[in-house]
Amino acid sequence: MFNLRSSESVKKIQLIQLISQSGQSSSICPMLRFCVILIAMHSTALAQSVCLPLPRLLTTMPMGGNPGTQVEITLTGENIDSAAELLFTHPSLTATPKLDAAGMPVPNQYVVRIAEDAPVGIHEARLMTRLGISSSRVFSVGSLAEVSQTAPTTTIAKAKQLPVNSVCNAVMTEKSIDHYSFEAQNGHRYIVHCDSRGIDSKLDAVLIVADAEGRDLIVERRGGTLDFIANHDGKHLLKLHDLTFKGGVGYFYRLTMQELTLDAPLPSFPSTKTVSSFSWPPVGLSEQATTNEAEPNNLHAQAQKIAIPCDLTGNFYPAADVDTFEFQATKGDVWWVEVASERLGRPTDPSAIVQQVTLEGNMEKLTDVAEFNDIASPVKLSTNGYAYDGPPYDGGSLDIIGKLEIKEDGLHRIQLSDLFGGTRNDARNVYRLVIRKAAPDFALAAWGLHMELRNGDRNALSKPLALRNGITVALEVVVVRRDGFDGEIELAMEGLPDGVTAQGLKIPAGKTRGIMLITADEHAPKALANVTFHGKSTVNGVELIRPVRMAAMAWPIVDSWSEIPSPRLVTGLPISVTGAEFAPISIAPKEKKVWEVTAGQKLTIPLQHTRRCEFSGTVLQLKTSGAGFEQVPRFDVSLASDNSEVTLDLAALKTPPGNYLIAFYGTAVAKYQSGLDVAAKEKPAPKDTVDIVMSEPIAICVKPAESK
Amino acid sequence: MTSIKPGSEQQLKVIATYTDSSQRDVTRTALFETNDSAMAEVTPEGLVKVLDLPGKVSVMVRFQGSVSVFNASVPLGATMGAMPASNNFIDDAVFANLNELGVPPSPLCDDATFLRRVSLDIAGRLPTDEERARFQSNGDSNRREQVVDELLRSSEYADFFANKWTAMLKNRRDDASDIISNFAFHAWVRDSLLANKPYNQMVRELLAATGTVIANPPVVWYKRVKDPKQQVEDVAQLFLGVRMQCAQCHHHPFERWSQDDYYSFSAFFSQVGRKPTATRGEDMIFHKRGNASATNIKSGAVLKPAALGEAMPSIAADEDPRLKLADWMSSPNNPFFAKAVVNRYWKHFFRRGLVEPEDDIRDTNPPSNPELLAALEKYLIESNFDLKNLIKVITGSKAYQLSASPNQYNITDQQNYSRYYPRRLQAEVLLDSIDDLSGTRTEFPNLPSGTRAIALPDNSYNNASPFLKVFGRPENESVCECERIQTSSLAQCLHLINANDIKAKLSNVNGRAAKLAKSESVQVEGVRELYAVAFAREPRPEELQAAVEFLAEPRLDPNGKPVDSMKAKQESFQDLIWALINTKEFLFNH
Repeated sequence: MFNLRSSESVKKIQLIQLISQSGQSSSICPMLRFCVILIAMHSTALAQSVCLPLPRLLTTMPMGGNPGTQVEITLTGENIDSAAELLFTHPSLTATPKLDAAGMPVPNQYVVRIAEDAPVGIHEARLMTRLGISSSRVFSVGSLAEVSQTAPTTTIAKAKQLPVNSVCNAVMTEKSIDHYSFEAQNGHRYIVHCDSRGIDSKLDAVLIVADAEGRDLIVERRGGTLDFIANHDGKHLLKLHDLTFKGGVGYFYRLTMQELTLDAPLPSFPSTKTVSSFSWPPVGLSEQATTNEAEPNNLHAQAQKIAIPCDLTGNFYPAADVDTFEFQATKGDVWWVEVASERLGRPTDPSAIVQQVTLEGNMEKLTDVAEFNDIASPVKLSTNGYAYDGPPYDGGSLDIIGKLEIKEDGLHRIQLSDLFGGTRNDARNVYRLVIRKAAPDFALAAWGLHMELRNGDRNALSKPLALRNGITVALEVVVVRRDGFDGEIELAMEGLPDGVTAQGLKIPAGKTRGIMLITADEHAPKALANVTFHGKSTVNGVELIRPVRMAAMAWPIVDSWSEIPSPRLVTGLPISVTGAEFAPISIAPKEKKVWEVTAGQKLTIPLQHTRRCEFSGTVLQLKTSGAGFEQVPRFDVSLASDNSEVTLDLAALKTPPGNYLIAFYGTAVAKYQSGLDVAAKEKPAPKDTVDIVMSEPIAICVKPAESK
Repeated sequence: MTSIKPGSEQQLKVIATYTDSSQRDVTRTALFETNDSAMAEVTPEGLVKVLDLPGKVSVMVRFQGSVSVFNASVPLGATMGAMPASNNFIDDAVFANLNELGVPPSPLCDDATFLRRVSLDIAGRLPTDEERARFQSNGDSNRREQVVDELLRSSEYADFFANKWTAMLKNRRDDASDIISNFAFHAWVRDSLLANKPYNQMVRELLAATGTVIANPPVVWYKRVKDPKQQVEDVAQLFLGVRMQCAQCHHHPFERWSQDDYYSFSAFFSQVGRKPTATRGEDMIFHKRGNASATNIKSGAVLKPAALGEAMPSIAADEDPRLKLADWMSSPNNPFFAKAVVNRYWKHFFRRGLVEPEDDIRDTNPPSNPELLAALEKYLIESNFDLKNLIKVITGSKAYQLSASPNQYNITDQQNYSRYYPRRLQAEVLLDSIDDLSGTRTEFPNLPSGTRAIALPDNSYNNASPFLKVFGRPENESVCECERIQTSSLAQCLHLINANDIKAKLSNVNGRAAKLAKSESVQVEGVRELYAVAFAREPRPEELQAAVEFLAEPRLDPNGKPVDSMKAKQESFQDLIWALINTKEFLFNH
């Protein structure tokens, strides 16, 4: 959980109210007129920005520390200049600004205190800034001695001596190879590992152990661990570089050099989780499987006997491994088969074939019953085309969730293989196979809604929930349904900051996508809260409440053709209100009420535009989100007007009677300037900035038509 | 095999035997073609005219769908003196052939020549100062073997051969986003060679690759070669030395391959599945369950996988047929796989393959030394497809160590390996060698300073380097090594003489000329250093004298005034280096 502090909020509220009152009395306040003049002067010189500025914590140096110590860290990021607090996802980590000799805070430097009982592993840090809460960055707590690269190590002559059993925090230099040296003893076993992608770095690490002259001995390029036994005493070199020799501040790493006994198991190196892993494990699954795979079981004749239901673990090893299990099943029974391997972080693609075994004379006859492959992405994925056609968050998986209907009594076999495993020998490619009776359930994940641009839209941005006053932001929520669960899912948040409301455009029955709308009131005070986000449904009369896992991009990618987006799950859901800036525009129904309409009739909703800056263009095209109303034709509203209205034709929509929640959304190019910052004395030049405009949610009740 | 004297003629007669056992002389309507027009010509009437080059030559005869070959041995018939003592089976076969043809071999090359030759051939670079010093002071009788071992352990060996393989495997940058896959693929090849992964294992990992680029880089080949027909043709040509292209549409005119052979071979690739990734243009590759088959587009027949006409045991729907293809290739009895790679590697070290072109092995194109090709093939299989071992045995042979200087008899020999056939350094090696001699390094985009041209991961660097383009570095578009231009051209000459990049290297303030000019040592030492780097030898007395005299000449500016002595000294060394670069001894491996 985050530690909260909001001591500045009272003063800011008063300022906000003053300005907003004056803004309401005139279509363009004096401050905004000043903006218009500046626009005329600068608009041709400024490129369009994508997304209003949000605080993003991008790097910490060092990236970790030991329990029971204090670590001085230096931060970099976007829009974090006004940061006041560094917060962690675990209470055993706290931080205070580093003070200079005069007792004044040193910008972007903090002293992190790691309690004795801080869990070893990865945690996440965020900054609380003037604009609100930042995106998160991994901070590791480790048990090995921490050292840091203090000078370039780009040649053999500059190699840094690395103590055995230590972790070095460093940043890769572009077009360079970092060099380290260590003293090895003949016959001793050493582990070399580079944490990079798993701790939010952009570095695709290449690790090389070389002799003292720099001649390569062994190489690891796949982010794995080098595990080797030295064959001579003396100096060895470690060479480390990015796969394509990129470098710079985002290419940080933690290099582990560890000696282990010959029989010690390979240590695990904690890392962030892929988005796909949100659907694992099923609720209630024990940590350990009850059965282990027993080789040899590649062939039908070697099938391992199991009884279903079952929960077993095994691995796809060696290359082209096939694991065969056999069990008795009864005609008409329905089972659900789930396999996890990719969601355990392995580079695998499990596939399962179930066959019925009968005898024809002395010969076995195998009849296919079912074949299982991937878990489909709940929403259409980006195809990496010229324009946006789906989010770059893959909520599906190469793993398996599938329905097995037994057609005949008797012996059945399930063969499990890795479609990526034909030539790879890696015993770490483990899997978990669960065969169970239907346990309908669901798992949820969410991320910031992508903004659709008209042309060349390939951005993939991290979007911390740092709310501007008066804004409505949307989260795209997806569900992986398990074991035939088909019900409607309500979305809800709890523990929101004062002045913030959240309403879910629920996930309809049978669908896999919903929207969560979070609105910060125009007068909401500056605040930060850790929010609980969950989905709720009823299965067989039992209410199920499941958490929504948040996903975000590790880095704000402007063009996914030049840099591959790196989405991951994040810990916690902090939501802040800035109290220092307004949304460029707020669109809301003129009346906050449930809008009633009779099925087949038309409903006109007057909308109010609260505009707080100028825009490029005069028209905002809006689409409609929300079950029952997705087919509303796009409509235009004026960006030069304070009002508009929309008419919904329920005859055309054929929306059945019921209660609905909808919102209108589009994109607008605001003449953004930090001048929207009510406290700033000097206003920087406005900049064309495109972002999503989301209306406040609108409740509609469709009543049945009177029968004639 | 018929023995025909140089300059003589032989009329061929073609008799066709029909299914009813009747026979007919079809000489007048048959088609004739020699495999080496420099050795023999053949008229449309079947008259073979043997020219004056010694060796083996064959004439292919085609009549309707049938093919036959006339093989002839053309002896030189010179008196054979004492042959070098054989080092291994290669020498046995090469010297036996020379004895049979009566072609006396050149003597063995000296140590300095050997060191330079083998360094260029194995590591794609000139020998280093340390290597020269170590080799010169090594009195062991097996010091040449030791050098080979040392070179095979070097990173440059892996870099150099990765450069060779990745070009044929089409590691090509078509889009900026290809950089990750190209670097990963190149690194996979390079690391595999460095670790001396058995060749059959390497090919297996490539052929049956699955997964993602980062987790399993050989899948990049399936990114580059997406069309299943192209996969068939590339695999056949690259790994089996068989050209299947023609068989896609009709029965191969020179070979036994039919359309059924073509499509049944393509059936091995019919279950390659693709899933999209977050990277543009990149797929995850997986084995798609199902019964592998392909349809002959002409006959409509649905064909099961068969390897160049050899039927395969039934492949279950769950089994990746590509693994079965890899198994077939690795079989000790496979008639193509080992043969193709030993022929390719032989060509790498001897300039000419035992079969030429090296990737066109067929009954109608027989090897110049069948016994040697068979022995190399056997050796590779028995050594578990150990490529370093193959290189070791090749470079350890006396045949490889023969002088490039011809004697009075073998000057015309082009295919019997009676001497080392000199060849121009390939583009990357030449650029690195010029860098070594001029004491500079060429900078390449995205790569650390000091990266050698032989370590470039893909073709994209050709765009920024006119040198690499002019000297024929391939664009990695073809599976054929012939895409690399090894012929000489006027543009190459002009580039070496006058190009800006060469001039910049010579006049680099941190270059060798500048350093030598500032050096306290006498000019003789400077000349010796240059000769050592360029040629791995001491300058001969007349060379030394000429060079020292040149360096001592006063230099005048365009106005006829004496140039500052330090500047003059540097310019003189620049000119001397320029002259050495433009010698055949430098430009060629010999």
